[in-house]
Amino acid sequence: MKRWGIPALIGVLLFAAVGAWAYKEHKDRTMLEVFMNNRYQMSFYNLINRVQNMEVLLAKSLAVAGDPDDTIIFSEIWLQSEGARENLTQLPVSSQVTARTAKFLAQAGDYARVKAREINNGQPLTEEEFNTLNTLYRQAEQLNKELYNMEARVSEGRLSITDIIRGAKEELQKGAPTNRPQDFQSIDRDMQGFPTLIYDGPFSDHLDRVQPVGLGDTTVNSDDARKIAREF
Amino acid sequence: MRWQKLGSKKIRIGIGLLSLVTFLLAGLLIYNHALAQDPVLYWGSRGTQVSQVQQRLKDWGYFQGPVTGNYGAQTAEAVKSFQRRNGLPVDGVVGTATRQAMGLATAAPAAQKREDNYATASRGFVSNRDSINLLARVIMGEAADEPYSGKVAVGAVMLNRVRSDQFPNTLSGVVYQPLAFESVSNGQYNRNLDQEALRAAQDAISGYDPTGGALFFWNPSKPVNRWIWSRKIVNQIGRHVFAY
Repeated sequence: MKRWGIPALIGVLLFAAVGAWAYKEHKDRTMLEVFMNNRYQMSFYNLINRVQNMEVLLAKSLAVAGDPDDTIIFSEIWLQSEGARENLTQLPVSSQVTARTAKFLAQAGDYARVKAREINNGQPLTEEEFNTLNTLYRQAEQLNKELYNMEARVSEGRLSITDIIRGAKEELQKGAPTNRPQDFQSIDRDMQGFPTLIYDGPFSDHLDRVQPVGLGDTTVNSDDARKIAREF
Repeated sequence: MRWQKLGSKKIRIGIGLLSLVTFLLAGLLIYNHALAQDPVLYWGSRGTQVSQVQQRLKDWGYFQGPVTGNYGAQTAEAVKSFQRRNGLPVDGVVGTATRQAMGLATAAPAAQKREDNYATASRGFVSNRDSINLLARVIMGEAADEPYSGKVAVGAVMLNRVRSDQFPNTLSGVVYQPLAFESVSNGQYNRNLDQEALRAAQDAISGYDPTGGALFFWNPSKPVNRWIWSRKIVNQIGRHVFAY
């Protein structure tokens, strides 16, 4: 009996120690998971907030179009859209999925910034620019609506950020988009409809489709090219 | 002669009747015309239309006196300040334009809309449902067993923090501020929402604040940070005390 006593005691103690350690680990893990989830949810709610502000401001810019006071509204659109982009890109979905939406936010903000500068220089809004603003407003409205639908499902517990994170991890392993973050994918698809914006700023669409200036009109075939290279 | 006299008497009566009818008809026409034109109300006018104007001005805070139906000095002043605020000629007289600006019925067709080549803007999509959901979740986490006003109070504290300069400027910022709400940091707030929490959140967002502007709340029977007791306690609802 005595021979069994001490090993049994040690065994029980070891078991208890391992159990306690495992429990603590589990608790820490849960806590960290909640913490991560909260960070992501904050980004998500901030994103909704910013996009809604952006929509309202774009609507205001339409109402006061041409007024010098527009500059304040345009600067605020810039601020809000940059905030929205910051929060969107912090969400746990791959950049493949959010790229187009992020581009829309960046361009809308940049466009507003350029317009604010132009108004300050005394250039009034043209009708074409007004129509562009109107399209941007529609687009922001649509984005806002879709984010709201997503939020409704998040708060009803039908869509959790953990799901989205898991999807993003799978995606990274596979190297191809899975159908997990479908919601963002559909938003991104809808963002395709947004117009090309050409204006005097760093994110303008004309920079994506630059025509090389140095090339002449004549086509150069490979033999010619070799010849030119030799002469050079 | 006598017959002739009688005849002329008949004719005279006929003419009299005819003129009376004409007069009445003309009167009615003019009256109708006047109705269609809206009576212009000015100092000294009286009647239900004056009462309507007074009521409208009173609702909007331009007119302080009682609604009497008599267009007096006070009414004229109120009309003038209304006209000043709405970019109308300031004459103290309620004509068609002022009437339209007040949203009262007018017989005249509404002023022609300004012709714009601009595309019209839709009303857009603006909603605070996300804020209501988020607030309701924290209310569920922090005050699920509290009385209704205690739930609204917790929501109101969060909204007061949004307005305060010592806390973040957005609701999500306040809710997710580290170490701010225990139920958020331990995930308790992710429980399913019930209708009462949603209603409490809705009420808090609509401006109901049972705490009177509190920025902090805690349960005095639980161990809390000692610093928090240095705050000025304003009231207690259910198990929570509320403080600035």
